[in-house]
Amino acid sequence: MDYQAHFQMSTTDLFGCVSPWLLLQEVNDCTGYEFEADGVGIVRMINELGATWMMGQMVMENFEPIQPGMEVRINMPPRELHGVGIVRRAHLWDGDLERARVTLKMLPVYFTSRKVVPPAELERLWMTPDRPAGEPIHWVALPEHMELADKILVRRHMCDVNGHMTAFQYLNFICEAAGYWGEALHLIRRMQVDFKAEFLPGETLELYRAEENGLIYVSGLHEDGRLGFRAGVALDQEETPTAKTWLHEMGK
Amino acid sequence: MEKLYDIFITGDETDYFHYVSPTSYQKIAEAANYHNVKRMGLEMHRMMAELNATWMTASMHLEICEDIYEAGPAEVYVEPMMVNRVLLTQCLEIRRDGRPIARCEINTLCVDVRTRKVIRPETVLEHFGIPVIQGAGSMERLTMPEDMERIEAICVRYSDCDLNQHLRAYRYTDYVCDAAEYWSGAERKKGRHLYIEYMGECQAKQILELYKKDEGTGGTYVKGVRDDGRESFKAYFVVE
Repeated sequence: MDYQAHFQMSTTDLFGCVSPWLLLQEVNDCTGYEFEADGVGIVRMINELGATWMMGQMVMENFEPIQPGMEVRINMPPRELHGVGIVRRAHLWDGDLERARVTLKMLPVYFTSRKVVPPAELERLWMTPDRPAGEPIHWVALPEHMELADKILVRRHMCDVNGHMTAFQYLNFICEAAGYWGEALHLIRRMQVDFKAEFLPGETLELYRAEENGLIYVSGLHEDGRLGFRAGVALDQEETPTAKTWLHEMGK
Repeated sequence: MEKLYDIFITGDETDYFHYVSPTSYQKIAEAANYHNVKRMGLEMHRMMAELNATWMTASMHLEICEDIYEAGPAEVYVEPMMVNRVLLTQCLEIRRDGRPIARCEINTLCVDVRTRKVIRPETVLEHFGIPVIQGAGSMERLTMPEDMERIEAICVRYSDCDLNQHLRAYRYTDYVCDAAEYWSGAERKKGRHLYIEYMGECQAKQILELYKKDEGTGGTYVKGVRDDGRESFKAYFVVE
């Protein structure tokens, strides 16, 4: 289905652009609507299975920056079944120009035990057919040596109804560690996040960073050493001109 | 009040307890305020190009009238913008099914982008040929108690900053709610009023020291002090 997104000026980042986390939030909202249409909306999941949807993996590709004021059409083809996960692909269009693409692998998870719901359990709820599985999302392979970049206390305002830090919040930390909000804007060409173990309020997230072969790697570890997430980020080599324009106007 | 537009409050705008939080209401109010400013012809691009100026939030009073648990539609209503000394005041109401769920007064300042000096709203309105409506006064200034306890230090992040190159207004609200332990414990608290005054902007990487004092009757004072000693914000949050 197609959805319309309007990014307002009041939500822009330092560069006057739409932040990656905001793009993800829009796509995640659309994913929620798709699940509802498919019969597995969050209310039905909770009521019938005691389960919820959690993000397992995310890939964001930006071809052109998305700026506030733009009316963006989000096109979402039918879901794909990939093992125990459901893959949702979103194409973000500004007229005839595809500006970004976001792919999410969503996992059905029992709310209490945090275990993944087997596909057979979910089977009876689907009201629409899958489409054949497309390209799988591979895992991010982290370099062996990574350096501690930051330690972050997980606060309640960063968390959602699933009781853990929101996926959007991870993106902010990853973007910061990758240097996305540095002196000039370098568009994120591709960012992949593998969400592995949730962070709960009061926990400390240890953020590690490495750079290898032009890619920036970021991982988040729990204090006990468990991997929370791993991410790979490819920034555009060239400065994005819109940022230059904005910064000039802001008197920098 | 005039209806500004319809909105849809999504599940992603709800908090730890799945309720629409003060921060989410503030985001809605800020978007409406910006939309109305733009509708008047005072949009950011024009302000920049013609006056080298920008809008900054100076203070806000949010009243939460009804607790909203479910995602769903809502409507935003606004009063005409009024000038209160150096402030441009916008009062608005968020309604669901015709009933107010939140009210908000947002006061904005027009500021020179480079010098950060305040430009009187009359100057801006007259420059753009917009009639000036004088208001009867804005939110009262907050007085903080003297014996506030230091609770923590926060490092301002790039991701929390906006186009004005400083910490965005609604992020302060998250800090206030966390400091007031709004989300702590198993039971959700009912936020009713949030008063906040923004005094000194914080830039990325600055350290913000938070202080608080609980009144014991549901009210909590929270203030932020920058690493250069200057007060950054003052707030008073009331839960039922």
